Amino acid sequence: MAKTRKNLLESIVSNHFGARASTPDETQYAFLAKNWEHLKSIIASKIPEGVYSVGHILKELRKDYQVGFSEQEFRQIYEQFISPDVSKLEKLAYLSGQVSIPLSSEQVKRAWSNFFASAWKKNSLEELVKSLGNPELSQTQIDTICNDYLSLQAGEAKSQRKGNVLQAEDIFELLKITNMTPRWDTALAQRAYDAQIHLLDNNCCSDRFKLMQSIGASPNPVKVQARYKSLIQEKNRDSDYRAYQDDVGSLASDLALVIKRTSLTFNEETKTLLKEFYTRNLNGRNFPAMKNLEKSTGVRLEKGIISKVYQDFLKSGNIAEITYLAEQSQVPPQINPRAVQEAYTALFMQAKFDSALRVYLFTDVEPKTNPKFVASGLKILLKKKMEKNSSQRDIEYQTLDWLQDNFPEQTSGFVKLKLKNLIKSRDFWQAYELSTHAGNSAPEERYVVFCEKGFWYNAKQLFEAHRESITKSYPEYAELAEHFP
Amino acid sequence: MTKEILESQESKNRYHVNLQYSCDNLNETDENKKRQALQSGQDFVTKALKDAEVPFSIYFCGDFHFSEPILERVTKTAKNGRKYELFNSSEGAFSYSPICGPRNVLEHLVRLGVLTPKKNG
Repeated sequence: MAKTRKNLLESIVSNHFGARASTPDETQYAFLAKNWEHLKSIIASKIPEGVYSVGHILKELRKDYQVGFSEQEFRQIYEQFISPDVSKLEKLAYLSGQVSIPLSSEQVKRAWSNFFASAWKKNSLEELVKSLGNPELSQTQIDTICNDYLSLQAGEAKSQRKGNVLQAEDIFELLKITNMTPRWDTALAQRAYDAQIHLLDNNCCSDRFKLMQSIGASPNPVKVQARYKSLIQEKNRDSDYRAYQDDVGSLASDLALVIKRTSLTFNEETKTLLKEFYTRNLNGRNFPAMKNLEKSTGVRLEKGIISKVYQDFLKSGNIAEITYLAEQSQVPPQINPRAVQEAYTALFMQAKFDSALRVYLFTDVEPKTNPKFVASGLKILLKKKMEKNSSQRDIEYQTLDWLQDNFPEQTSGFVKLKLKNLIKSRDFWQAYELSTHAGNSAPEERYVVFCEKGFWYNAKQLFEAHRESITKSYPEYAELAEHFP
Repeated sequence: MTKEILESQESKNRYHVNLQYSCDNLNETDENKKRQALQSGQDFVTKALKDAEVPFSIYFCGDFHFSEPILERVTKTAKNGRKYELFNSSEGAFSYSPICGPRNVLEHLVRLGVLTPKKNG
């Protein structure tokens, strides 16, 4: 269907005044100017779509072709923008600035009244002031705006605003621009302060508390201590891992801000909690951040705490962490031999024998652990597969040698069972490797391994020394002895 | 009763560190010169080990693609007289990502407890 003349004109106008308008060239300007009287109502309706580009075109048309909207017509166009929609009001401010035609005083009043009913913010307030001048608010209006803000903070009113919530910085800007002092409801300010204190940290709200304190609200010591507590607990990780340096850094800045804002320091309970945080989370990596936390809070990171952390690392056999922390803190590890024995017990029970050996090499303290703990750890180890990497296996074997030296009875029992398992699964290569670390234990199993590997001389010697037990345990291998070369 | 572990010199003497250096483009004379220089502590790592009186051995290796030195092996002779391995790079210069270069090697030796930590050192 052919387009009507009106549709065609609308389409041409949209090319220059729509949302995706392009600047007209000379012939297009001439066309717009020649047909101005036909087009101006269409242009007026398109202006809200392309408000940020029309100002220039309208100026050109007025300058070079002497056509344009009259002051009255502009004010008519402005009406399309006056609503409780802050983005429309911002566009209005921009447009009137561009075309240098101010709003009527009645329109200014209505624009401001719509503005304060909208989701306004500091930036949009500044924009409107540039174009409309300062808002003229009555004392009652400013009291209402400010105390409504407090009601929201206190959780006593629901926001009617769609979009962003009003912030303290917006209120500060309004008071600066209007140069007015609201009649604050101080009791409401205190309730707002108490309701918001659980949110105070370095990321948000600092201005909010500054404002409420300026009104006369004061921090409730119990709630402030609860805030310290929750900030510390948030950064205490659930797992065995220690806090990252960044987490400690942000805790330091959050706590510093609460201290600065409230002028209240830690009480005995929160001091203890922070010291527990140090103990649970300190390591070499986060040490600089922990020192910063100490500086921010005034709660000392004492040498005793560092020593306790050394002992914790010792219990997990983490020697590298001890040396890293010593490097950072310059506090030499003073390790109590009793703590070393506790570390051995903990590590043996978890079958962390290589870590136990590291503890031994680091401390030079011999293990005096109850052998039953070694036996229970070896039971766990029995179920584990041996390392595939040869150098790792070497470490396993040197650990086994160390255990043989210190707990021969338990280690021999383990070696015998392990060899039995390897023979059963016909893994004679690993069985042979293990048997070279078996000392004098498990002669029956070692005999089988020597037979399988063809080490007849060693097999013969073992058979002569343990004929009876070998025949009893491995009768088919015992028969092989007759055929030894 | 407590004792300060990292400060014990007697304990330090029982460590032994093997380091690998490059012998690429070196003839026998140059290699000997380099060995002597290193033995007398002329790079950061050997100097730190010498200062700490920790015994060390120098090994040369060709086709060297990493920063010198490579930490090859660290052992400690325990009080019971046995020698234990604290670190073994297994393939040394032929591994994909050995511990190499003075900074990394020194850092690792501190982590292993071989060298006493020195702040900013």
